[in-house]
This record gives sequence, C-alpha cells and structure tokens, in this order.
Amino acid sequence: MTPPPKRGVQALNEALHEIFGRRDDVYLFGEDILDPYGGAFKVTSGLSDAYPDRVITTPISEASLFGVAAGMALRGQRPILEIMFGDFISLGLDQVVNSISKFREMYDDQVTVPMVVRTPMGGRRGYGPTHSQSLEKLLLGIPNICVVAGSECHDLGALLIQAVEDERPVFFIENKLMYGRVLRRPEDGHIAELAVRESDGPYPALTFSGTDFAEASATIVTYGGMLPVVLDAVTELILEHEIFCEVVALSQLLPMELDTVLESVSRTGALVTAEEGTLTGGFGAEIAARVQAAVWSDLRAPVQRVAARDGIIPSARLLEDAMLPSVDDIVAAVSALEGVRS
Amino acid sequence: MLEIVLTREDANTEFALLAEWLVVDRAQVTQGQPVCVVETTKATVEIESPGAGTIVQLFPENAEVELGKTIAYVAETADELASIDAEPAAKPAPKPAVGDRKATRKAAELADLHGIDLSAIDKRGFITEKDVEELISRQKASEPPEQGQALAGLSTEGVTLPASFDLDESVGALEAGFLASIRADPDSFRALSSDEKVNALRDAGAHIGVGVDLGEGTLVVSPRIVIEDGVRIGPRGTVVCEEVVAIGEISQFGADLELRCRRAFLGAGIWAGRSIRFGGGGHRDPWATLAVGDLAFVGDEAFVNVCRPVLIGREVFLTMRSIIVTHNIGHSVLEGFENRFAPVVLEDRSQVGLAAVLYAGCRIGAESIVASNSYVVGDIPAGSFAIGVPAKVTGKSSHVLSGARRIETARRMIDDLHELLALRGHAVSAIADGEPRSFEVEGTHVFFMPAFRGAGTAPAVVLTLEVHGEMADGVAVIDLVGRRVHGSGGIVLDSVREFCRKRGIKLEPGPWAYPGGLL
Amino acid sequence: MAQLAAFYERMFFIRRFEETLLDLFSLGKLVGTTHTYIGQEANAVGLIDHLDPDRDVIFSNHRCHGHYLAFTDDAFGLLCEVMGKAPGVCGGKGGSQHLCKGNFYSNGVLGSIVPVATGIALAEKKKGTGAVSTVFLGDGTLGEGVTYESLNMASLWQLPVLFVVENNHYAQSTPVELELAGSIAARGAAFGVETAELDTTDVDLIHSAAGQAISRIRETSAPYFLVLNTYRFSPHSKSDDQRDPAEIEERRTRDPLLIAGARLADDERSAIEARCEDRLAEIVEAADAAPAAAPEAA
Repeated sequence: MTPPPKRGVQALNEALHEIFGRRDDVYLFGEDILDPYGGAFKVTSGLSDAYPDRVITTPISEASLFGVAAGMALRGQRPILEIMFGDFISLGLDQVVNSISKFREMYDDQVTVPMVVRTPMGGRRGYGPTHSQSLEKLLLGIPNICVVAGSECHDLGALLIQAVEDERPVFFIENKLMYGRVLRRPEDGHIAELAVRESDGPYPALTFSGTDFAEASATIVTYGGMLPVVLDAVTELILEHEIFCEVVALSQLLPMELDTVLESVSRTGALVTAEEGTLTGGFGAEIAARVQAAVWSDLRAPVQRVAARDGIIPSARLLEDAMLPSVDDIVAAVSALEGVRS
Repeated sequence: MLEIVLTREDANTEFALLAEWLVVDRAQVTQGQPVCVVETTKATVEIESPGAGTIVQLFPENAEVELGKTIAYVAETADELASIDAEPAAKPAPKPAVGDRKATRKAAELADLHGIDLSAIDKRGFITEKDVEELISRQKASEPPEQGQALAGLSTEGVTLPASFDLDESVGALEAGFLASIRADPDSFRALSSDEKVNALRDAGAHIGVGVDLGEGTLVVSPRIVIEDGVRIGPRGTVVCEEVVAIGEISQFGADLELRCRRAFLGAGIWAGRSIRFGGGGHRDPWATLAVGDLAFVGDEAFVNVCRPVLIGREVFLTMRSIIVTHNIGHSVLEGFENRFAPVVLEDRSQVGLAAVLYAGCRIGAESIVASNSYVVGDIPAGSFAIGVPAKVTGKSSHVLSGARRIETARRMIDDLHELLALRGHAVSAIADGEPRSFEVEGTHVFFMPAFRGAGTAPAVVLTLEVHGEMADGVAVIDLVGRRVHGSGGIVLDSVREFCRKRGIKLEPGPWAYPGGLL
Repeated sequence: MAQLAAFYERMFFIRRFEETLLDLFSLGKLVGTTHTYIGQEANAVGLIDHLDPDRDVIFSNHRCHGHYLAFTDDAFGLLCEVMGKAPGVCGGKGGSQHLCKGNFYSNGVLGSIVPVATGIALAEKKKGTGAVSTVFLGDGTLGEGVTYESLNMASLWQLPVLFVVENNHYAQSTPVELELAGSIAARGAAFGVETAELDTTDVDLIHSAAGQAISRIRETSAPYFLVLNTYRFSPHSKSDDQRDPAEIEERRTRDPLLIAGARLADDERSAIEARCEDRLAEIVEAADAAPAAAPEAA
C-alpha cells in the first residue's frame, strides 16, 4: 500500500518533532512560532506545546537572532533559527559573513557552529518585491557554510534532520509553494514516467531521465521550487517534441559538488541551468563556470541559463509571471541548444 | 445550485489537499452533512454540504486545490443537475502534470494511424514514436496479413460489415487453369455476352446467383468469385482481385467500374454510379482490403484508394467525386518527410458530400456528415457535422424534432406526394382536409394519421408514426419512424416507398429500389 | 595587599606586553594591525578576577589583549598569534582581533559579538552551568543597532549577561560627543537591566563594583549593564592619534598603574616589574624563534 500523500509542511513538521524527540540540545528560535499559531507557514506546529522550554519565540530582531543562534551553537547546542521570509536573511548577513561562517576556521577548528537557519524563499504567490525573492545566491559566495534546498521530490524530512545533525552551519531553504504541495518520492526508481536516481551523501542530488539514462539532448540542473517547473518543461519537451532532457535536482547548493551534473552532461553534451533567483552572479553562473572548465570537450553548445530577470518581483500576478522563469523559458533554452546542434 | 468553496483564510496558505471524499460523486447529501476532508497547512477539516441535493464533485481525491476554488456543486433540482452536465466547462480541467500523459504526440499520432491501442505497449516510462514503430514491426513480423486478419488492429466498431466478409473460403474458388486463361487473355473474356461470362465462371467454380448481369465488355477475374442474385455490373467494367471478390444481392454498378483490390467484400443493395474507381497505388498490397456495407451509395466518379483497409459501413453515402486515400506521396523518410499509410473507416450511415477528400488515417463516425469539398484529416466523432479544409466539426448532423414538429413534417409529406403525382399526370382526388389527411389515386386511399389504431378501409396506404393493432386485408401501413411496412400493396405502395426513400426513409423489408412504381 | 600586588602584576604585564607589541610592530615583526589596551588595564584585571575561566565566558572585541591575558594568562599563545607564528592560539589564522581559547572568544566587527554573547548566555542558562557571559563593548559599539536588540532579548529572557561598556571616550578618532547622544547608563536602564556606572581607574574600586555586578547576575540570572569610564593612552591602533597631547598628559595622572603602584612598597613593585620583564623577554624570544604559520604541505 502506498503511504498517503504528504505535503512539504507535514514532512518538515514531522522531522522537527523527530529531531526534538531524539536530541535534547535542539532549540528552535523564530518569530510567531508558538502554538497555537505555529509559525507563519505552520512548519513548527505542535512543537512549542511538546517542548515549551526549547521553542523560543523571539522579538523581530533578525540581525541579532543569527548571532544568538551562533552563541548557542558555540556552546554545544543545536539551534534552529526560523526566518519567516528568506528576504530577511539580509538583516543577518553580518553574522553569517563575520561570525557564523568564520568561527570554526578562524579559531583554528577549536569550535564548531552547528546551527540551522530555516527560511522560505520563492515567489509565484503575489507577495511582492520583498517577500518573494530567492536569495540563495547571496549565500553561495560565503565560504564555510552549507546551503541546502530540497525539492518536492526529495526526502525533505531526512534533509532537515541531516542539517540539524551537521556540524557545519546550514542554511535550509524551503520553497514556499512546496509547503502546500504533495511530495513525490521515487517509487520503484520512478516518479511518474521519469526514471530517477538518487545520489549518495548527506544531501543527495536527484537525476531524472525519460530515456532510462540512455543518451539525451541536454541536462537541466536546478533545485528547490524550480524543480516542478523544470519537470513540466521536460515533460512538454518529451510529449510534444520527443526531445529528452535529464534533470539534476541538487539539494546541496553549497559547498558546490557537481559530480552528478558532470556525469549527466557526459550523456547529454549540453547544460541548461534553471533557478528562480535573478540571473546575474547566480547559481547558474557558478555552475556554468565550473562545468565548462571541467568538461569543455563534452559540451557541444554554450551553457544556457534560465533565471529571473534582473529586477524586482512585482506583486501583480501577470507582472510576477513575466519576471520569473517559466516552462516556456526552459523549453526555449533547450530549443536553443537543439538549434545549435542542427 | 449551491457551491462548496474552499475558502482562503490565511495569507500564507495557497493550496489545500482534498484528502478524502466522504460521499460518492452524485450522492444525495443533506444540509450540514460532512462531504469531504481537506487538509490545509493549518489543520485537517471536514467540509459540510451547504444544502440538500445531488453532489457533483469537481476534483478527485488527493488533488491539490487552490484555495478559493469551487470543489463541488450541490444541485438542488434535476434541472440544475442537467445544467451542470450540459456545461462541461463548469468542471475545471485538471492541471496537466507529469504522468497525466504517457505517450508523446508523435507516438499517439502514429498509433492512431495504425489503429494501435497504446495500452498494448507495456513499458515503464514515456511511449515514443520509436516504441510504436517497434510494435508495428513486431506485429508485421508475427502476423503476416491474411484474409480476416487483414484488419489486424483496426476497429470495426460502428461498421456493419457485409455478410460476405466472413464467408467460408471454400465458396466460389475458381479452377486454376480457367483463372490462368482469363488472366492470359482478358480481352476474349470481355468479348463474351453476359450469359456466356456467367456460365463460364459458374462452370469454373464461381458462385454466381440468378439474374446476374455482367455488362458488355466487362471483365471479372479473381481466384474466388461470389456474386449473389440480381447483381448488375454496367458495361466496360473491370473487376480484378488477387484473392476474392464478393458482391451481395441486387447491388448495382454503373458503366466503367474499375474495382482492383486484393480482397473486395461488397454488400447487398449497394447502388453505385458510373466511372467509379476502387484501386490506385498499392491495390495489390497485402493489406489491400475493401469492405462496403449493405445499402451503401457510391456516387459517380468516386475514387477509393485501397493500399490499406477501407471500411465503408451500412447505408453510407459516398457522393460524387469524393476521394478516399490510404497513403500519401512524399520525399525520403530518411530526410524526415512523413510517409503515411493508414486505413480509412466510414462508420454506418455516415455521409460524405460532393468531392470531399478523406485523408489516410481518418475515421468518420456513425451518422456524421462531411460537407462537400471538405478535406478530412483525423477523426470526426459520431453524429457530428464537419466542414472545411481541413474539416472541423461545427455542429451536429441531425436535430431532435419535437412530437408536434414531427407530425407536421409527416403530414406535409402527403401534400408533397399528392402534388408530385398530380404533376406526373396521374388521376388524383383533391386532398380531404382534416384528420386523417388523405387523397385517392388509382383507386387507393393514401392517408396520414399520427397513430394507426387498427382496421382501415381497403385498398389503402396509411402513413403513420405509431402502429397499434391489426390492419385489414388490402391495407398497407407504413411506420415512418420504425421504417417498416406492414401488410402489402400494389403499385401505389411501391410509389410511396420510393417517395419515402428520397426523403431518407428506407423501409424494411427491402429492397429499396422500386422500378415498378408510378414515380 | 597580596591581592593588590597580584592586580598590579597583571596590569603591569599587560602594559608591557602591549608596549612590546608596539615596538615589535615598529620592527616589522607583527602582521596586520593591533589595538592596544594601554591605560584601560584596571578594567580587565579588576573585573575578570571575579570570573572562573573554567565556567564563565568572555566575548571580547578588537581591543581584546588585556581581557585575554587577564582571563587566560596565555601571553605566548597571544604573541605568536599576533606575530603570525604557528604556535599562535589560533594557529595564526585569527591574528590580533580574533582569539579563541577555552571560554574566551573575540571578534573584530563592532556590535556583532553582542548577540553572540547573548546566545552564549542563553545556552549556559539552558544547560544550568551558572556561567556568566561577559561581553566587552566600547562607546563606539553603542552606535550598532544589534546592541539594543541584544539588551532587549537578554532582559526579556533574563539571561546572565554582563554588558561591560568601556567608555574610553573615543571611537577610533571620533570623540564620544560626536558619536553618542544621551546617557550611556540610561541605555541599559531603558531595557530594565540593572545598571552601574564608574568613573575611575582604580582597580580596587573596579574590582569591588564588578564583584557586585557579577554577584547580582549569579544571584538573579539576569543581565547587568556596567559602564566603566576610562581612557586609553595609546592610539586606536598605530600612528592614528589626533588627540590633544595635553588631554593625554592630564589623563596620565590617573594611570591605573600609578594609582595601584603607589599603594605598594617600592621593592615589592620593583620585584614584580622585574619578574614581568623577564617573563616577557623570554616569551618574545621564544615567539621570535617559533616557526611562521604556514599552509599544511599538500
């Protein structure tokens, strides 16, 4: 019997309950996280009732909360900091850049900072310019932290538990739309009609193939909330044009490890990157640079990047749609590769 | 009509999971009855029916529903229920997602062309054009086409095939020597009289009924020949088949018929005009099979290409100069040009207008009408009216008449018949107004009454829409709706039958050609 | 008297250590920059005497050498660290401003350390260790917003944090009048935090006030805001002093070493100073001879 469908918010909530039950050094900080409210997106529901001493609702002081969590972590605890909207991580970036990411190495490995910052990112909900962004790329330039972004096809709960167990500071990015969506885990090596492989390691990458990992036209590398958009595009390319792409959905964005991407590119010979953040200086730019350096001779075309336009995310639905990368943008990018080949 | 809406109460929750329906679709529900369980990010809640009535569910279980959407209607009356059903748009199309479709567009098109059911491909993952091609080549390899199997994979649903299609293969086989002699010298055979040709064929083993007329200069040659009583093939005809030709009783073919096809099964009561051609490129191909149902009509100069099966159902109208093709002509497949070979099916009682073209792979649904000069690619659903290049469905092929309108239409037929007979110089009485509406011709009364309830004064022909009770001797009753003649009559009955046929009312028992009437 | 002698010895050692750094800097033997504690020694020595290095925690700032030496007495590790030598307490990775040893931490971004110290207090409170988390601020740090967020949380959650504001009246080159409005002590009071303010360089007075503050914290597990008005004689870092020399001279009359030294017998004071000089010379020699911090061979 297949288990009942689970939505992202449930998986994360269950994982939090599990890790709180397993370890008594885990703490949760954030704004409005107490029951019965249970957090703006309800991820922390039921936790404060079960663990009133370890779930701490906070003032609206993001800049300091990053530091408070760092202090907890320095002293051997496992704080989880919930930042209500990912847009607000900018308030805490001083702590990330000058404290959290630095302590371990600048103190010559005398300390670790095992903390998790959980935060929702992403648009497509009309929240407007300061509540819709995908700012992961701001973190990608910070050494010594881990950035993890699961997708609706990952084992989100396992990723979160792994993040809490990690000795490194982990940014755990949760796409807002994923909270309400039904998670789809591989069954019998497949999700719908696509064959799926899951890599080893604490934060696995998923590789999707419509050809059972035989040759394909391109690899699309993405993560998080872009995965369903990419899968829709890939499905459209297959059904309408019989163009087959592999998809690599990373969950570990930093430190950047691209073995799965390179392996896939060896079968496809072309790469498209897809991210919801703005184009310049982003996830795709870094991957493009690394992949071109590593397997230049495998590539038959320049790497294509699909990302949000370099601008704000407007609130009005049609304007927001125009800003954010779409199925059509991905289809167009893959088609551009096809054009190069022929 | 009441709606069950998932209300949005929280700025951060956009979707909910419709976890479970507590009632089946179309169940009767009462006000306040819990009908489904919905999970939002906040909680799991039961949703209650806002009133009493029939529930019409718009989403399946486990669907993710955007908050603010209607998930079900509760129809409080039958009319409301009908109006929901009448408007399919009321049911939102589910958002296409990975897994909803399995076959690529190319695969689906190819399967369609070859009449392949995609569920025959047992494969995890997407079904591609290559998968379908492989299946086709496997089928070709494992099932060499034979009679009866020539239609492998092609659905005959909606097509009433002629009785000869299933005829035992031993019937009508010609002696090999005789067959060879005709093939060697067809002109000598053509030069024989009809009776000489019939007798020679019979002597060699062909099954040929009585009253068969093979026109002057007409050639019939095939390893098996089955021609039933009363069949007439006009002058200068050419019937050349590689395996079998079978023609049902009293079917008629005009002058200059050309019938070339590996297997040809033609039904009874077919009426075909002059200069009709069945054949063209590939008519000797292993798949070349022609079936034309009983009582079909084929207009002058129609052309039917038969390199793949062509099935024409019962009572089909294929009018003048219409064209059916089962393959295209193209450039090299290795340069990516399409090379199409596919059957064509016309289901029963469908109609094809003047000079319409039916392209390889199309299927005309039962009782559909294709307008003149249309070009049909793909399927036309049953009961529809299609027009244009390419043909598009613009409406239905027929309309439902109210009871009163049907009576009025039938009653007017009496006036039309009266006028026609008068114009042709027959002695007819004036129409007696009132009920029943009637007149007299050749000493016979012709009536219309909405319902016939027995007896009647002989001799008479009664047109009616309902038949109850027994008629007197010498009274013929025509059930215009049931399309059946009860009782018997003479020349006037034949005339009325002919008149009805020209209005599309073909009466049983047949035949439907009445050369002996007044008209 | 034994306590005062001990205080004097610690203060004198810090003074000479910092002066030695300035000399070594001139000789090109230091890497980067350094911020010396000359003039403020009584604060570190008087206060930290109440702290237990095995239990209590200090988070210090860029001007951290005095605090570090008073808490750890690890002069060799510090000197090597500042000189970029391998035996440095952080292997040469941290340098002058980024120290870590046991329960001592420092970092170089003003204000950033305050929330971390608050988090440390929360951790220690949750663990029930009874530790006090001491964070050293300056008048300049009061310009950073996170200071006030931290005061709010420390008070709200009743955390054992000792906020020590060493007001040396200059934020780098900017006098306090140009960078700070209102009362410093009132800042702590505004958050409902118990507050005390001293205007002295007398180590005994500081020791006594700090003792009261730390006792209160241990007693109540609540934060405490201690303002120590002080003065540094040395520049902010090196050669960046625009202050009026007359002002510095006036402050030198209140040098904590003078005040404490005057209470000791001359011979005792001389013995202490000689001991410190000897120890320092040994440390400098050893540090000078130590290998430079270098990347591990690949």
